[in-house]
Amino acid sequence: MTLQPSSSVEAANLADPDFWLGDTVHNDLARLRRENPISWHEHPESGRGMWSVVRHDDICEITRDVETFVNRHGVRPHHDADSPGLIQPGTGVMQTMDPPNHTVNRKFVSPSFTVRRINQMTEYVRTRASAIVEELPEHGTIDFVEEVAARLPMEIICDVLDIPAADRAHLQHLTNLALGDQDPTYGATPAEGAQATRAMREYGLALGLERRRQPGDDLLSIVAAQRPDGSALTDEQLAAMFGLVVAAGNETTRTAISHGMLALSEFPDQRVRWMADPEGLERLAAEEIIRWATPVRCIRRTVSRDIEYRGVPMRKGDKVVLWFASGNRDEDAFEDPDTFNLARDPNPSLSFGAAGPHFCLGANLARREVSVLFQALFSRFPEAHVVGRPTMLRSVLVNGVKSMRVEL
Amino acid sequence: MIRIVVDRDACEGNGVCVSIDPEVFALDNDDVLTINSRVTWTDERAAAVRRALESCPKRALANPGA
Repeated sequence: MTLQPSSSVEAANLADPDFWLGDTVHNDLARLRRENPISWHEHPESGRGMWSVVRHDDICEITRDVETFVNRHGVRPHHDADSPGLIQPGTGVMQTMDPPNHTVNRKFVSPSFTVRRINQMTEYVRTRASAIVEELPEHGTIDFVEEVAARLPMEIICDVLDIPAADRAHLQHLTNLALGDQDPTYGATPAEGAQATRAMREYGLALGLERRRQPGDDLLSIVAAQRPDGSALTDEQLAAMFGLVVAAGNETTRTAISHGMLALSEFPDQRVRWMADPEGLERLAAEEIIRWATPVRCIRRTVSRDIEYRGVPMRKGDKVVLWFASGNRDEDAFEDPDTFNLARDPNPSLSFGAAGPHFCLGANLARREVSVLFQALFSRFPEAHVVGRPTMLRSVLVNGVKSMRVEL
Repeated sequence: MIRIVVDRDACEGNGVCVSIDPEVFALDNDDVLTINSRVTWTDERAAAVRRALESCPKRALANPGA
């Protein structure tokens, strides 16, 4: 037997949470886009294996085809619909619904996120961001994630839902567990993550039912209320909607702000460029930061019937994972995709979920939070920058930053 | 040329169409969608606009001629 020289380039395994902690992520993804745009990946921590879709155009096409590629069997890449201990997808939360159920469910919450509503919130978001920046010491280093990035989205989503101040830290903790369910730092396994989600939902249901009886002008009261046509969310749906809004409103924007800070430190010319015209560039800058961060690396669909996609046979029930992290660096969709360019226009970023009905409901709020926060931060600390290496979350799903030192 | 009708109640200003053809679709400073029909119409543009209509997450864009 002759010993084969070991291959110098190991095949990238996108299903392995440790792959995403490595230094070769974007090179490996570029190679997959060129050589193997639809490939099969498996890992013991990612259930039964998954098709990985890495090209921008394929990702857009699949998110539009809601009949072949469905959400009702779950959207997390590493969960299987029948895994014991996990929350069964398909009924409670609009993310794991398909049209027409999804359409009906989303209407309970979408009126609160219209462009007009978000525009009305701008001054309030600005006040919140300024207060966070004002509380920082005059100089020295801080943990940017804990003291800045995590605070703004959490305070805003809790204000919007009118959550009592005493309960907010607990909810933040549950969110960390629910979304950090592959990271040993949070002590979380998928089952523990699911338990945290259940705890969050129970809390939300109790509060939501209270608001149904005694409504205020907060988002939870609006979501819990009966529609004019007499319809209302079931208890399960109300609980799930609460969990979704808290987790999605929190973790993703925190991640975008953290990666934004990192990128603005690595590319100080971009920071200077933005601060020369803070408001004129805000929309494009936020979009580019969110593309660069890709807070949610991917989303999953399930094939609803046996098909052939791009010549690859897929079986009914197969998981198909759409890697936004790759599509957002696709050479065929972006000019100089590996350049962080705050004036990028057009910017067909996939970070909010590509196309189709599941496009992120909170996109406009997230963009606003990102731009307003950096305007406030750099107006007080024009030289703020990251020092040392940030600690990243171990996850196939969330491109999270656990901690990051920033010198003010 | 393709006629484009915007359902103002449905449009969330997500800007998916803007990213597909920024000359035809634009968001103004209040994130309100504007349509510019004074553009050169090519087959390529028509295809892009059709894709933009299909891509609207809120199905807020329609082509009444289709």
